Amino acid sequence: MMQSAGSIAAVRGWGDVTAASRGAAQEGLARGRLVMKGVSKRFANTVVAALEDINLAVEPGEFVVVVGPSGCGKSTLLNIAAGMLRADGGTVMLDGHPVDSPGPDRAMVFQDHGLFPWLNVSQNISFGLRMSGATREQRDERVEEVLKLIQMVGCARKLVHELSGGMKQRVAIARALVMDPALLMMDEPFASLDAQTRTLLHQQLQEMWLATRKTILFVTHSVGEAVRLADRIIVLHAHPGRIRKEIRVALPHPRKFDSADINELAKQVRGEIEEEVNRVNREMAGDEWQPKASGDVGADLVDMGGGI
Amino acid sequence: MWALILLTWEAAFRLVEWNVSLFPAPSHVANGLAELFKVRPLTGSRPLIEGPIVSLVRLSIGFAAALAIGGVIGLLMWRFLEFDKMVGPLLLGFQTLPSVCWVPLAIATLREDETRILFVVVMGSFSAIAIALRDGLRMIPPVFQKAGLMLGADGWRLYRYVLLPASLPAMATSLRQGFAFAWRSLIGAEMLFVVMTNQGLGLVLNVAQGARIKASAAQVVAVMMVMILIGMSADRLIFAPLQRRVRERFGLG
Repeated sequence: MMQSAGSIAAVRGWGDVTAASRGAAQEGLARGRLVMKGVSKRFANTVVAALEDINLAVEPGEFVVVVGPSGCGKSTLLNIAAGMLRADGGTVMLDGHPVDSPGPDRAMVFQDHGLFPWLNVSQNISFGLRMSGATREQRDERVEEVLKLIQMVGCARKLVHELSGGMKQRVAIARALVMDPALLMMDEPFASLDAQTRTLLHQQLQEMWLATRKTILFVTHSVGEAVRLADRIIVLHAHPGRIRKEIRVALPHPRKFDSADINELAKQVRGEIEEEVNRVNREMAGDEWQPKASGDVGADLVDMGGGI
Repeated sequence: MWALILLTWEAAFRLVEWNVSLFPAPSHVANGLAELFKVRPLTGSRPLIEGPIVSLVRLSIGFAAALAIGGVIGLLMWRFLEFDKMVGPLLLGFQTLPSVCWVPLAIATLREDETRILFVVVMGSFSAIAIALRDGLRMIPPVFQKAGLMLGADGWRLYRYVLLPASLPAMATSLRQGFAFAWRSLIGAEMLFVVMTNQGLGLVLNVAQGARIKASAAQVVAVMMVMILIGMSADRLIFAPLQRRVRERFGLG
């Protein structure tokens, strides 16, 4: 997987990216350092900024999870890092290059998978390679490789609607990974899956990440998910969107999701953001909102305000 | 079931002896049908052979023009909200207007009956095509566009490789809708504009009624049956299967 990085970039013909990754490799530096400095964003017709003075550095190979209540600007943050949205102020740099439009060094996995229903599984996965001008043989070879990684070789010719929810997300991850991006972004990718499937995909994502060591920026409203996967958890503060807290998760990978350590940490993180959730809910619901007694909120907070 | 109804009908007719021109029996309609396949001494043509051909050629031209015009307008309405706000309600109004209402305008502005017929076909169907296309395009999930952009489909490639295939269900619906409107408009126009050298089905229907022969009602019913058959076959054999195939591929059920 990793050794083919150079060749794939060369295939794409994106000269500067190729040069950058080759340069990084020569200096012994890994790809995928994302640096956001003083990033702010305000949408038209809104009083409060969606994001205000965001400073965030993601190291190569790091798994960073951004959590926060609905409407706190998590997705906005991700879209800015993706280059889909321009920040009003501040700078976003990936491996020393400013991010101002979508580019081949970044890939994204969406909540509602976004697979193309008119293409089959392998055509979906090779779509990005096709856009970058890879030949048929190069595409087939890479698709085969990635299909093995997600353990779906037998489904290459299947249509999107023939797959289960979990399989769709695995294909969406494969479609992103096949581009060999420096930064993989995931926008609540497992939010619409059932609990069992989600746990399975957490495991598989963890394995894939350990195998490829991609830099991952992952957005979710689930604390449980964050604690399972993250090296570092960024807690966002809403209205305006600001980084409220950073929590380093020192537990080693691969993690046992049902271990006491994980549960203990999840409880701790939930406690730390409980106040924030209550504040946001109070603002949204007005005076009628009654915060629940501390310690009673655990289960609810796994989906912090997600249903709002 | 239908056979039974027809048989009872025929038997009832034989027993009571109704007036043929008022209420023809199935056998009269069959005779009328046969008559219309024979060469007419006056014009030297076979109405039910040449008629459908003339009509289908006109339909192809008119429908193609309507698709081009309706397609462009539908696309613009989807892409530019201001444009949609401006012309959307008007097109919806056009859609409610019976297509024969375009006939006087065709007479007032165009000289050739042939072009007048095409005008009515286009005006009668382009709005339905445009509206169906716009509505279908609006159903495209925004995530397709985002995914395409993130995977390097920028500029025209976003249209060619993402939005165009994503709009296939919309196009299939619009095609089917448009055909139904175009077909109805065509027959109406052909009944009103008499092009003797090129008799379409609509005119054949008119002539059948004016034949002033004993079995004129039978012939009228015969021509109507042919019309229904053509409209139904086109939908059942072309447009409905096309729509079904696209929807199946997309998993839309």
